[in-house]
Amino acid sequence: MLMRLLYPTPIAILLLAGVAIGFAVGARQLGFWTEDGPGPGLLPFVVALLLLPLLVVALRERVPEEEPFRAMPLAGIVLTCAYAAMLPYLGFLLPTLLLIIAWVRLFHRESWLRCTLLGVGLTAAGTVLFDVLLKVPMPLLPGWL
Amino acid sequence: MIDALQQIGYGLSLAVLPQNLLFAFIGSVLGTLVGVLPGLGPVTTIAVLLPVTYQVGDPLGAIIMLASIYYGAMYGGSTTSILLKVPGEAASVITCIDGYEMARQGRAGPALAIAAIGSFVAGTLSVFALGLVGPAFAKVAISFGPPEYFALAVFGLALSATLSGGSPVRGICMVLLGLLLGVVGVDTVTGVERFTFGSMQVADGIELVPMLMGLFGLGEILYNLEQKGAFTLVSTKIGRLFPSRQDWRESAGAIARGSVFGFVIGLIPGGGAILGSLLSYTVEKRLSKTPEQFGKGAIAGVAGPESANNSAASASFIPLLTLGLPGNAVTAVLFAGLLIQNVQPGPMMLTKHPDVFWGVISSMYIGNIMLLILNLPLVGLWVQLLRVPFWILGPAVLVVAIFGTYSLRNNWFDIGVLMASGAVGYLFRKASLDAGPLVMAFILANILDTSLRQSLLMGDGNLAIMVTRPIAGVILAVTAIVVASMLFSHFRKKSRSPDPAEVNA
Repeated sequence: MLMRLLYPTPIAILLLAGVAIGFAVGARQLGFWTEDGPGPGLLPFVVALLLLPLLVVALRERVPEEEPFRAMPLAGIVLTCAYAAMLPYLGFLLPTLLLIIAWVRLFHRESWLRCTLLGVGLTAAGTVLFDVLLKVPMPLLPGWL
Repeated sequence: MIDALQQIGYGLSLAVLPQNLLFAFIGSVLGTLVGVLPGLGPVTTIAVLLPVTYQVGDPLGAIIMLASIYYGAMYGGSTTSILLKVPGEAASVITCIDGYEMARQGRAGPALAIAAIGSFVAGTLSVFALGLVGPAFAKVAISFGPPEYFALAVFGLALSATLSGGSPVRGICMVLLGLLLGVVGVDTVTGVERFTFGSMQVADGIELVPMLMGLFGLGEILYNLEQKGAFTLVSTKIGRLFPSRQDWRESAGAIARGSVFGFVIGLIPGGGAILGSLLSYTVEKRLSKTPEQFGKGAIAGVAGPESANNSAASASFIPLLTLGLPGNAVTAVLFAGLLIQNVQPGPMMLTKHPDVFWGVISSMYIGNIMLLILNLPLVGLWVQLLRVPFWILGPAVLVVAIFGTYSLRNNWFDIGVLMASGAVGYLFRKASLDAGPLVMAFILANILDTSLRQSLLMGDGNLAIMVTRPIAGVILAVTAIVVASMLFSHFRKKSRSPDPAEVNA
């Protein structure tokens, strides 16, 4: 029973419920009505209130073929978040190279050679496409360099 | 009629300028290229390529490129449906049925050709229909007040939530979530910041493009990590490409009917391509002398739905451009593309940006011709792309999404939005929650909010104004009927048959 709670639907619905409650509370503070008429909190409050009971119905809907989370996508999420956290400090080149090498090695079990080649190739391609061809100034190197 | 033709002529004169032809060409190539990659449907393709169009600079050129990417992605999507049985989007699920069967019987060539030709015919017809209907729509739309806008937005959202094929309850949940996320930022009426936690980053709202790329791009890649090896390519041998005389006989009527159904349904906000292709398939099966062939490789089952799909897609530009209401996930992404170019879709677009309006419509036609030229002879080349292994594909999309996101505003925060949306996109995908209605609602949230409040002001705080104004009242009544009947049939089906396949469908 406890394991069933870790399935995608309950997790997603819990997340949505949290969002709905947060918005409902925030909307109350914004006010439903001002002296000029309907206030900024009116719509979000009504929407959040509509959402909550529907979430209960959605939770009770049976999705018998629902599959549990798999390790790889979850690891992928961790990897991309770590990458996003590194970017502002290290620039694009190094973190992107590392991300791709780690990604292909971990999730696709390719050889180190292939991982490195793809990492170098894609990092170079992204840089050429955006920095050179489309002329977007990308912070490629660490700021302190 | 003459007027519309003149305007289309004007649009064509813009679309055939060398630079615009070049943008149409690049767009078609990029769209087909990415769209044909397995696992990347049209929505993902357009979302990931949005930043590239941003760099074009000139609004018309950028939008022409977007429209061609759209067409290319649709075409690429039908290729993967036929050869891999991987529908790029909900609307091509129908194409998979008979298209994949044909491919298995060694008739991939005619299936691909008829899909392209059907799309071309449907596209051509609907571009002219667009030219006729568009201005009429815009004229009506200008007379709409806040209650009518509110009713239309609710109507479009309700339809997209309940008709997307999944559970209508989940669809409505996604719409409501989209509405909540969409009001984040400075309130346009009072200037108060809503749900920003004082952060400047979201003062203008949550950035749409990184969110789209996360939900549809990164989320899709994460989801595909666990689906490895799920694609089974029938064969990269296309065989004879050109349909036989009998194929033509069987398809001609289907293409014509499909084009008309698709167009009419595409005009309804929230109607969209899936309904069009479904309707076309059902009708063709009914009309066929050999209905038993459907599901076993009937060419009419590819020709009809593919045409309907395409003309619905073109027609859905009407609510997008004249009402400012995106009718499905793809037009929602295009909406984002227009906003990036500072073109606000809506009733004023025809007067404010007539060049963009007519240029887009005409360039869709050019895009169609280009795709026909590009795709039929080169289909063998595109098919080779189906062999690109996922270990190259996933990281490549990842890099384009990350660099592209940053290139839009040179902002690290947006990368965070991308990653978070990617994680959420994966979660939703696993939980059978469709992100399409969420994105539509996200875009419509402020229109809905403002029009609701203005309506309430007009009615002195009384909601009755929504039903006493005839147009708004009728639209809301139809909405209520559609939603009620979808919910009713959903719950009845569930209580009657505990068949898991059906509950899931």
